[in-house]
Amino acid sequence: MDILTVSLIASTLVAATPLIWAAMGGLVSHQAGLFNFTLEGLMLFGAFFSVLFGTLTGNVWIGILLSGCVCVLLSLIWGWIVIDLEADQIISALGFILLAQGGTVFMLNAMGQGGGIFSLVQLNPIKIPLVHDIPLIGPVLSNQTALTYLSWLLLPLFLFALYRTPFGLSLRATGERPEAAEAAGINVRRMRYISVAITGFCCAMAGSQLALGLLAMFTDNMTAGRGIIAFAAVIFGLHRPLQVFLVALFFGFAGALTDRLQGFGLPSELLLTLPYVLTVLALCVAGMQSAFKRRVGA
Amino acid sequence: MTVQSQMGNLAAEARARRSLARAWNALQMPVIATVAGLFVTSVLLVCIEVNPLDVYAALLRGALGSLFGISSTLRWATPLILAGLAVSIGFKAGLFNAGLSGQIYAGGFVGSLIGFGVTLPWGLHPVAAILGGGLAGATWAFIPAIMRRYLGASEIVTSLMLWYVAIGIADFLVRQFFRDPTSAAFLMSVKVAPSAVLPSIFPVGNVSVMIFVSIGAAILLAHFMARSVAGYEIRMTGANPAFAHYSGVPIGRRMVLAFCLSGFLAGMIGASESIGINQRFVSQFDPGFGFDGFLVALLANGSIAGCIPAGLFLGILKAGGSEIERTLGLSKSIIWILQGSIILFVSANRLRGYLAWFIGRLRGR
Amino acid sequence: MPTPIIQLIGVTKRFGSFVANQAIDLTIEAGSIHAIVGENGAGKSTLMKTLAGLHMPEEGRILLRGEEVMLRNPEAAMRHGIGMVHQHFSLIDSLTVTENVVLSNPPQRAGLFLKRDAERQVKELAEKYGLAVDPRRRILECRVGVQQRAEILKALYRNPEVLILDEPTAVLTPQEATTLMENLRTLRDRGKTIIFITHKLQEVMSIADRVTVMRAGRVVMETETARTSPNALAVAMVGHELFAKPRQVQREVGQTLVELDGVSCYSDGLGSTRLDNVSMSLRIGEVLGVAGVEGNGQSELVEIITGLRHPSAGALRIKGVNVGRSSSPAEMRRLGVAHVPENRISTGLATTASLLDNLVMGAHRSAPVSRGVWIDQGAARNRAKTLIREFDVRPGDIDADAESLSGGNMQKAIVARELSGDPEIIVVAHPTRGVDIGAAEFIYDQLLSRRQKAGVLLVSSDLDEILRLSDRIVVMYQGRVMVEALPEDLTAETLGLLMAGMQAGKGAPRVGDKA
Repeated sequence: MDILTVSLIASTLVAATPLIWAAMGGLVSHQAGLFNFTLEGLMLFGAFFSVLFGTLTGNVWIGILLSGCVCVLLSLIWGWIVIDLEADQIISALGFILLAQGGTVFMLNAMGQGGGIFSLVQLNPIKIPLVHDIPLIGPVLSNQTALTYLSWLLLPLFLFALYRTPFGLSLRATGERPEAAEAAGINVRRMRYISVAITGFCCAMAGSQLALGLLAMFTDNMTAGRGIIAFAAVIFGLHRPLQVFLVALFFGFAGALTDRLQGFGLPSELLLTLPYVLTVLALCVAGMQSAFKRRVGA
Repeated sequence: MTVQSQMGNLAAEARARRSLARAWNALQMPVIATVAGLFVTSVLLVCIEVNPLDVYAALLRGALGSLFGISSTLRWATPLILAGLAVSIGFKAGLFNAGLSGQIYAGGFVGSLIGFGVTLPWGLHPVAAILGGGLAGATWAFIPAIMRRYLGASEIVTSLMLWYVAIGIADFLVRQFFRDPTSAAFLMSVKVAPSAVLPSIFPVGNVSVMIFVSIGAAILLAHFMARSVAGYEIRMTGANPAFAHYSGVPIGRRMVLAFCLSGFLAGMIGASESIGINQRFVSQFDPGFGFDGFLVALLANGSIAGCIPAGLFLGILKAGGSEIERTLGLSKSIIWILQGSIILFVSANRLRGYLAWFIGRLRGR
Repeated sequence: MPTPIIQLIGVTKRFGSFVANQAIDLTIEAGSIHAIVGENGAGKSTLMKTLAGLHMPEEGRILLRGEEVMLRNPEAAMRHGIGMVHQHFSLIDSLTVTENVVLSNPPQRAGLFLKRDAERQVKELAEKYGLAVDPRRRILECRVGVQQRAEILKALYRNPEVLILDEPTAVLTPQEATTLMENLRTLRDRGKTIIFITHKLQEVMSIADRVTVMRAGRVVMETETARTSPNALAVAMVGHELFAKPRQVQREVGQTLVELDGVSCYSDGLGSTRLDNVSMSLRIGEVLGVAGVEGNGQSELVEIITGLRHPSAGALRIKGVNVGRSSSPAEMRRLGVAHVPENRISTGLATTASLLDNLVMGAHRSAPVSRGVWIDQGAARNRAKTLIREFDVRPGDIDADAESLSGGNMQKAIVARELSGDPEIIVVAHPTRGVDIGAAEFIYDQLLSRRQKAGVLLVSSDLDEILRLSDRIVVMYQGRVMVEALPEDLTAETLGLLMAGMQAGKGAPRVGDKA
């Protein structure tokens, strides 16, 4: 394994972390039967508030947690609009994203800043003693931020929560057949609010990693479509934890590869389209399968 | 007055009342959402100790208070009306063209390509570029449309994903083959030929003849949807696909037609921006017309012709935004917030019920 | 005599002005199997939903073991020991049988779902009542019969004393139905009380201890099964006053319009065959009545003739033209097929569009309404106004949305539109369901008057309608043609028996091949 491969893995892990957080958060809403396209907006809010609160409190973790709380609240507002006001989920999500883009810039300006603000705190890489000493990949697996490590824990956590707890059972029932869930005594409305709150929190973590893990600053529209990629990962991964996790990881790899190949003068633009092309292809294949099933009448 | 004519009068009055009620019904949600949006914006402005009324006054002054302002409003209304039409025609067929921006991008690329790559006489050149851009947009919309028709894949997700693919392909081609060697940081193509440029029709600003094309397209399309066989079939497909199918309407073909028409309009936007405003292809030239198109269509609330006033309204917001930026030192973000909150609430039909209940309680006391 | 487990006294349930249940008295003995039979719309399901807490009755009392109770919601009914298995399952496809069964109250410890315990519980429950299921299999991998057992287990998991089943055998194959009957006996022997709704008299006779017959929202008969006969039940179901009214039966028939030759149809899901080797023909000058309890293949038959569905096997000829598997509604309409669909709101109309738009449909592609690519507004409005006048659709505002019309007027609008082009083949499904008497009479007259120049295929589960209009009758049961007969050979009684899957005794009509 050469040094290039190693650094590619390293940058994959860095690029994938926000995607994993946002996509895993998004899948919870989808599991509860909500078509949640707000991820991009939530990430942007999360990034902004983590910088704001981190700088205000002088503690990176308090900043991230407060950002998480604010994003949960904002996400619940969207939840109220779609669950109780019965607004169209996609239209209102588009509005939410626009509101996030306008809102963060507005707050930047209100603080007298132009295109961005620097954070006084940041997430430092953590060296894991034993792992760090493994040759070549040791320094890669180690030396990540805490949010990266936590994002890896999301997979077992979500698998467990969805498939091994009564809560997960209720959530899956809610998403697939709300009226049947209701008949079994599950409070569908409550399950949906909970799912939206979880999505909000996870997206805040995604935004925090973006703002505090890499650059220690917030800039105008810094998510730059990562929330859309995360959404693509949710769709492509059929909102199942393992698939979504792997797809997000893969999209992170595609991003890292793009940066690398750009260095060699290869067309990065085309590589950047990879996640989107793959999602379209996945929908094609899924469609063909069901069309085939319809035809054979199985 | 004879009894008969009296009855006729009564019937006419009843008809007038009904159409008034229907118009009010159609306007209700856009009005409620706009009020909600203004409320959210005002609260934020008060938070930073700015008088909202000053802001709205500056907005109107900037958009309508001068010849430049009016020209600026019309400049923005041009693509916005088209974008609203593109979204509306999808809605009519029961489809959601979330990838409008991709079709705009494709149109912008092909439009400028025809602008700098082809030699044509004056007059004809811009027409070819606009139509070429439209066809590019229609082609880009055709992919999600047939995927929906034959594979049942959600046109919302596929068209949205293809937006990014359009950006990738167009940027790649421009970087590789058509890049302006003098451009430094920004990725942009060479300039279009002078014969292809859409000139401004106002002494100031950037309004091209495309404003008439936009308004004409709205009128034509409204007529087409209301009066043509295909338009009727598209409407019925959107209103109840099972009914249309049972009645013998080829609903798959009608969906594809409507979606491609939507893409064509979007492609025209891109081409007109390229040869009219930028006079070349500029990477990321679209300042979010896709989003804006939704707002226009939602404010028009299903009415095709309604896209004209809705597009002008949004044009006022855009044009006035600069004035706010200039005189009050606020950024345009306040306009985004206004737009975003309107979109957020405009489909929330239950809001109407809650408001009625709330007003009823107020009256009760 | 012990206190009955359930007693209904004077229970009345109205929907608007429609009385679904009129002063119902019903007594259910503990530990018995009690069948409730009646035609569609007799009020059986409404009554059972009242018992299961899905409706609150306007009047009357419900006594459980002699004590009056209020069943405000399904949860309350469940707490009082009443569980219901609906005709349409409420199972979650991607979950396993176990997960579905325990969904309401999963076994857990410290926030952990105890899957093993749940599977064991379901297995024990299934064994106790003889309901064979694989607890670990996902619902979407199960056959319909197994899904139903899972649904029953789901109800049993909450340990009810009374189990209500709404037409449990409607979706089952005969073999599965036999198994279910055994299961129900086992449940009774284990001390449960079973109430089941059915159309099939055979089932009643074979397992029910008592039977209640309902008609038009009232209880018309209640007896021990041992003391009655299928014939007596059928008579009670359809009522005596319905015996054939004299009518001019059409004998002179012309050219064959529609011909089905061994048509079969397999459904998309895991269900059974929906149409099984059906052969029939429709000729000019006759009304062919297709009788049957809903869900016995009539919908599929109509869909095939109107191009909405393709036959899986067999041939379909329209006026001698072989329209194989590539047929579409558009093609069928070109061949002269008109269709009044069974569901007027989901299929027959675009309710959010204007009445004008709804009435123009079909005529919009040809003159005088269409002029090239444009629709002539004047001609379109004229057409709509003419239809509204001729068919007396009220209110006659063609610019109003179709959803503002009452059910009867919606139906008149559909019939007006469909009959307008003088079609040769008129396929009509349940034309007067939920339609007031005046409108129904009008529709009957229209259909009969078209008979001279067209063939009418009338699908209905209303015996009165079938006997009144038909020149020839076929009875469908479980996707097959049970008999084909002339109306004078059939009484309401024999027809009722045939629809319930019983072969008629005396005066048996010709069975099998075409008349």
